[in-house]
Amino acid sequence: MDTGVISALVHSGLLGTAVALIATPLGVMAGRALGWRLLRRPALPSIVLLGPVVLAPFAVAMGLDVVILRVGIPEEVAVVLVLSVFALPYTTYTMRATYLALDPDLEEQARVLGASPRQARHRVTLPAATAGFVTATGLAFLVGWSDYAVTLLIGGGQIITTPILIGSSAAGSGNDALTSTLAVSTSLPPLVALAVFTYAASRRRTAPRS
Amino acid sequence: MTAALTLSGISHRHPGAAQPTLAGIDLEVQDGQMLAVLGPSGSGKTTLLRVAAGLEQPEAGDVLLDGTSVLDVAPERRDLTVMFQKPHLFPHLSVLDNVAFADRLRGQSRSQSRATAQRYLDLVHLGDLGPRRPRALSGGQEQRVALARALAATRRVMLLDEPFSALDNHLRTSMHQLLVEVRAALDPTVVLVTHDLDEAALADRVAVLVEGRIEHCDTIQTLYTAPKTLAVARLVGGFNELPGVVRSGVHHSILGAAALPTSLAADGPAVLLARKEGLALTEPHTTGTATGLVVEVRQSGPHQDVIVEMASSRPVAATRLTVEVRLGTTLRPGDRTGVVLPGPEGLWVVSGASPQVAERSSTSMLTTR
Repeated sequence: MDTGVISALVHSGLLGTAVALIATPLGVMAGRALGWRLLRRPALPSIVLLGPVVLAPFAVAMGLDVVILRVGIPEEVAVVLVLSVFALPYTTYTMRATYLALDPDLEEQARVLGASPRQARHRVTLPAATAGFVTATGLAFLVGWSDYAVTLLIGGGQIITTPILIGSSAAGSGNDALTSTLAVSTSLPPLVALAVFTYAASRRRTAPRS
Repeated sequence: MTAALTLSGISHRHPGAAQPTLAGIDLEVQDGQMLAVLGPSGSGKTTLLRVAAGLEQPEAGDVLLDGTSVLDVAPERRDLTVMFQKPHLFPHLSVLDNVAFADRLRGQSRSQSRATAQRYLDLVHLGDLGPRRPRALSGGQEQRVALARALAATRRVMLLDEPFSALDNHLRTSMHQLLVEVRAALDPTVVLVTHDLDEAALADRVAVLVEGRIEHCDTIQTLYTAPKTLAVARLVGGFNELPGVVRSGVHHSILGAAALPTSLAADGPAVLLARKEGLALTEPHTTGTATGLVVEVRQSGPHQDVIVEMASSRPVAATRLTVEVRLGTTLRPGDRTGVVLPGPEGLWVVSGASPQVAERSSTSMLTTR
């Protein structure tokens, strides 16, 4: 395989991982607060969180690239941060649904069995929310992995990920076979990851013991 | 002797509430004793348990374990545990690991904690369900596992918050039997919150909580025969209430005069209490009995309740008495019947209530059995 393709795959993987690492923990916290109704006025945070989904990434990126240039944030960091904001609604609402289905009293039960608040979260509610956590992580990863507009406009063409490579191949080379091969190579890793997660989750559901 | 758990002057008010949820609660539970807190919905039972467990802070008062205040101690560090109405089994853990949870937190190895957990699972007759996930259990099995998990925590006091109220009658009875077995085997100190009299009867003592106050704390037998207040009598149920006055050891009411046990001879307004199973029906207009009109015959478990409206010569609200009879009564609404009160040993009075009914002639003593 061409080193350019491998490099693009690695960049996409790193970008997806970085976005997942930022957006998932934030989504867990926000989802917990919204799902368990820990906020007095949840409407405003909900609107703010849904904002990035409503706005077109292209329009946001076009405005933000100027701001980022002026502030002097490195392009790589800027791309990760902006994509994390775009991933946050997905992680938050996935975790909100997960926490809605999870009884908050489980943490109280854990505490009266001897767990500190931190232990109650880490040994009871977070493991019980694993399925939602994995889904949220996957979604955040995919936001970074498959992004085109933000990576191109804010990254200034310096960050070559697989969507950028596919875009340039489709626009410049006219080689449909190459473009298709690149597209399939880009689609395979998340599909494999999805298959592994699904298999692991089904094993976990049917396993006799934890 | 120092009590295992002491609640001293506990008062609590939910934020924004006009009335306190708990007002000056004093309770003691001795080592190995089981105390039931009995009360209607909204009486503050669960709040009392949550205050004891440290899940709620009281406005005033203290919680002591073996004489030491634990008011400022976090729930996880108080030497007590709670079994809630819902079993709250941890869905990501197997049944065995749920029971082993407290030991794992204490730093025991997985194999060691599982071995201990298995003994508690055996105790609740679920020894072979250890590998299962909680979602593969029935409601009764879930509560048994929750009980095993609470026992495996080996805390000084175990607080049970209506743990069997969601189960059907058959399962509830089997859980009551299990609780008796567990008490015989482990002798734990237990506080059980319930609104079910049968469940409360499992305890050594019953504290009746009404509108945030302990109205009576005694054995279940005493609650059935000698309730301290009308609220307790109404909660226990099965009492006929006859307002009147006590004079010289005799209660005077619409039914006439009824001699009381000598210990209840304080003069003044008082409500005579007679259990429905203590009354008897007889032919109408029999000498010395009160006569009334049957207004309803109601099925009550394996018995029937005959509701009799008593005749009154005064323009007062009609008094209705409930008399429990065996199945197969031939009485029908509209029939006239005589009602016989029990003897002094079957009567009880609660003083202080204003007489709402004019008394009949104090000379016409009602026949008692």
